[in-house]
Amino acid sequence: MILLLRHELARLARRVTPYVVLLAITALILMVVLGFYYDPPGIFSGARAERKLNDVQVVGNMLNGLLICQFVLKSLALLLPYLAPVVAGEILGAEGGSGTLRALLTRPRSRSAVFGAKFLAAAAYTLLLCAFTMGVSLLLGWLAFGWGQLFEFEALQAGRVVIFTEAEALRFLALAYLLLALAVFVTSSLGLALGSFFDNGLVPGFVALGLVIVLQIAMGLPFEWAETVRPYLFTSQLAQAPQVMPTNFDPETLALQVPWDQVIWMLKVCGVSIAVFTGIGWWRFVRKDITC
Amino acid sequence: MSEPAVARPVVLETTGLTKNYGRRRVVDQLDLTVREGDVFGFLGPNGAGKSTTIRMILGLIRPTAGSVRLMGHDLARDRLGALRQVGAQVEAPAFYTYLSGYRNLMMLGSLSGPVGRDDIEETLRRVRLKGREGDKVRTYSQGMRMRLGLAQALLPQPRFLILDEPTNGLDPQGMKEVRELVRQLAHEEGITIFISSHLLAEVQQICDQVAIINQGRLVVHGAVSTLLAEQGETSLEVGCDPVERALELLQEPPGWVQVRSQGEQSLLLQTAASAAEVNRRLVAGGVAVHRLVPQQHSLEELFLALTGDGQ
Repeated sequence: MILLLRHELARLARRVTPYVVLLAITALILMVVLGFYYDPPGIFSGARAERKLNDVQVVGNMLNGLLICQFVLKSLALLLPYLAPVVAGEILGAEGGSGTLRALLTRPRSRSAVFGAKFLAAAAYTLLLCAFTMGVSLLLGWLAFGWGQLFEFEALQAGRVVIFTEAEALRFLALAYLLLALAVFVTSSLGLALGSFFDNGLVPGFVALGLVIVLQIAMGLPFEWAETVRPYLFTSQLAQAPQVMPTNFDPETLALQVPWDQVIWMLKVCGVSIAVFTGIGWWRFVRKDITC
Repeated sequence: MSEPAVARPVVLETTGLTKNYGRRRVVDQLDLTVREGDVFGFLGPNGAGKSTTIRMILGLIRPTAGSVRLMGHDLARDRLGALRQVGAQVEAPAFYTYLSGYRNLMMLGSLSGPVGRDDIEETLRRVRLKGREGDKVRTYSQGMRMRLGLAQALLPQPRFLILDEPTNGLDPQGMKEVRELVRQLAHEEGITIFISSHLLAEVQQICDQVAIINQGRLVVHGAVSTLLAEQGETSLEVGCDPVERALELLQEPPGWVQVRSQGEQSLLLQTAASAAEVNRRLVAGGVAVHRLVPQQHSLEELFLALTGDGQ
């Protein structure tokens, strides 16, 4: 299994698509940074200057790398679940399309091990994708605006002030990006599962994407059944990762309030979805006739 | 082959092997036996079920019914054990085209066991790809990919080699080299070889056992020499002078030869008699014989006779 995984990662590192996705993310983050630099929202204009926020006198650098990283988490990063299945679908589907699957499966390795290695490679890429997004947004934000404490963006927009120290902010951002990786891996595992149904590098990713979009539209319909089903579907959890960032604190203890119930529910729904998609993909893969 | 067939262990045995796709039966109750040391030719017209059979033998396709025993292991129960000493190239060789030939061999070869740089270089030398191993496979010609396919099949140092149309895309020189390589592997290294090909002359030259399937069914299975001998009378081309005197001599007793064609100084005879017997009679009768060429039945004739012109 370790050898198979090493091969998978080596092949992934030599393909074009994973780099195209990373490049696209970098370009988008750069656009955000440039947007904040040249046309910052009103609240940040004159970001380095002294200003008054409600009754609080703010001195220092509100617009900094941490804020950019959080902004990316709440906006751009939510697109990752739509990008990741393209790569994950290719990991398995392209092998069928090119015929390399038959070369692989005539070796004395079990199909479960081959699928397992592909699953782990998809998981590793998903984690890398989220870590990369966090890293690049921090780096570009720091280069453009420097460093400082984090004024929680959502609270700020609502006229409240929730401030994280640099260490707190990094901790919560890392946790949020980790949760985001879990959400992204749900759609990745869907892409991977579809890869065992289609012998093609592109089709599984795009079918996964189509399914996610259709489900999101269906769950947005104003019917009671949609309301009932919605919390149990993975599509409702794809945008929940940023919620781990506290937007409020306990007025008595001044402790940051993390919505743990919401986070745990997200973990459950995403975990079950990943297990179901992976199970279906594995079931199909170990039984399918390799005719390509 | 020095040892009698019954004394040699069975390397591959399929029993009642059947595959259906929906209502269509692609392979029908196929029983094959390949023994250690055989060079086994697997023939059939296009769509006869050859590739499906090979894929079932390698565990790529699940049979609808029947069983496969490979290297003494039941494929359904112990696929990994069965494939451990098998090298295979199924249909057109497929590789990671964005990787080098060397990297492809390293990746695929290491899945069958430890592979060193020396093993790869030796294999590349054998298939005449040395010097191009660092290039990406996408730059290889079809012939080079075919050689690389052979290399990946040979790399695990298999005891049983399955080659599906191994000379496709090769030029005549390449085909000759593959033929020689197969002979060398079989006769010098004792590797059992199962080879599927539509080039019948080629199979006749290198295989000692053959199976022909048509529409998924086994039509014939046995030693090439026996099957050809069972075809009966052979043709004999005789270069002689004078031809008229030769014809007189060959008329008695009636029916022992039939003259199929006649030239100025040659005859084509259909006869069960040996070339020596014909020669003796003609020379004794004063005819100068300057050429005697027995023309054996070819595998192609056998194939066409059994498969209805390959249809």
